[in-house]
Amino acid sequence: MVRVESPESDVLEREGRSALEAAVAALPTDARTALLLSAEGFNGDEIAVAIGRTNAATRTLLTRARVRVRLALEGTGGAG
Amino acid sequence: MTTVHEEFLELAAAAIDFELTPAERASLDAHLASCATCRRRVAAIEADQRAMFALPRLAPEPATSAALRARVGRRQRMPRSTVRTLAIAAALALLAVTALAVGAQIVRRLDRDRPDVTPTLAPDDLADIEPALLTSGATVDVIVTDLRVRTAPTVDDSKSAKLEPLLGRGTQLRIVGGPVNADGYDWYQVEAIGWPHRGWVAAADHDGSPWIQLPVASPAPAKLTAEQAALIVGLRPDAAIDCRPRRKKLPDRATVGVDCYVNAAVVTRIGLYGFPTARDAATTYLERLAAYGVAPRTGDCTARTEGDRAWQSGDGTKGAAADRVSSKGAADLVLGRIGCFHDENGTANVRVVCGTTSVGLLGRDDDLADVERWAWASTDGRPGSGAPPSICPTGT
Repeated sequence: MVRVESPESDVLEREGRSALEAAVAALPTDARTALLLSAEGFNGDEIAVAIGRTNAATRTLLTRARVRVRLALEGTGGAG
Repeated sequence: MTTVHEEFLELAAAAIDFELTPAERASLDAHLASCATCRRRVAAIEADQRAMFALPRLAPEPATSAALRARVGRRQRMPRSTVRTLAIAAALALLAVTALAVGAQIVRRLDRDRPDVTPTLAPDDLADIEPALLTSGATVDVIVTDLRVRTAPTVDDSKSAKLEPLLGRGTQLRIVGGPVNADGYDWYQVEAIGWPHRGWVAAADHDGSPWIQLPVASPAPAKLTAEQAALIVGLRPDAAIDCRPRRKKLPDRATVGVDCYVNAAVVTRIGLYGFPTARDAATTYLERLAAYGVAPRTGDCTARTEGDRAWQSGDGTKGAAADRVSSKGAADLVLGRIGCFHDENGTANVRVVCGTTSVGLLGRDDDLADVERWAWASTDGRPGSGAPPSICPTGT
């Protein structure tokens, strides 16, 4: 079967959806909502309005959430 | 991973959602150019973003997401690493929305914009649109009382015969040919659906008032703000249907609201409202029920009796004030609650407090049990288990 390789399929296959799902689910509500809105295509300014935080706070929140998810997937901790 | 590398990882993550300053961008690019490990990690972080969209239980169903993007006029998800990509995507999104809004009005616009007696095609700015909208196969509605159909595209009775009967308002026509401009009219060859007619009709009067028009189906999708869209992220796919900004007054204390026109067998519409705190949501909920004569911890919606109960565990026990709400002296009510009542019209209503979001469900008739069951549909959660009804968006 011919399969198109992409970064997504790589992530999904190597680490599995459940791992990503668990990593995202483990985030605080605001961080999770911000990530999901971002995945939906909203930009940082819009997300800041949606979750009622400043742009700077939202940037920090999203940035840390992304790094935290990545580190969790790589199994190097960083979830605390 | 050393601190310096982590710093650049964070910069790369920030670039997904925010514009970096030129200095940040330059420093990130310089570092990535010299650090293969960081390039791999940055690619992984960007892949995480795309994979997150595909998460089945955290993101809405793909169909819902597509609808959500359409409703808020957003671009398809795509890399946002360059300004150029953004600009193209934004332009595409704008085009899609504009096309919808323009569609229903196109016949009117074509004629209004065209000088009455000039036998020419549409102005240049519309020339690209016209063929796509009123070409063969398009269905239009007659929007005047009587529309004449002729055997040829002209009002000259020596060249064209009048067909009987006249077509009434609402008659549907299928375009099969044209347009032909003659005698100051744009003529289309049509078949009248359900009538024996096949002939030519003029699209509009000389003054531009349209005689036929593309069906005005549903109005253009309402645009949701990000704050409103956040309310329906994680909402059950069968509930996240035709969601629009709340037009009517918001419930007391609510700061944002969305109405979804679900139109299901037992539920016609749901409303989702965001509150500053869960306690605010629960307080407004209790006031609403009280207004309809429903006291906390009474009745039984499953038995078609107006009532209230907690879906969250711990009801009736002491707890932190912020986690409890009071009503008429009882100060031991947990915040996660579900209740039902009949409104002024006798229609079944169910209200659910899901953290800082509350959900109102409007039934189709007076059956409280049907609506309450719909709120719980497809979950194992039941009052006492501590799990919220499935109508609560995930993450609330």
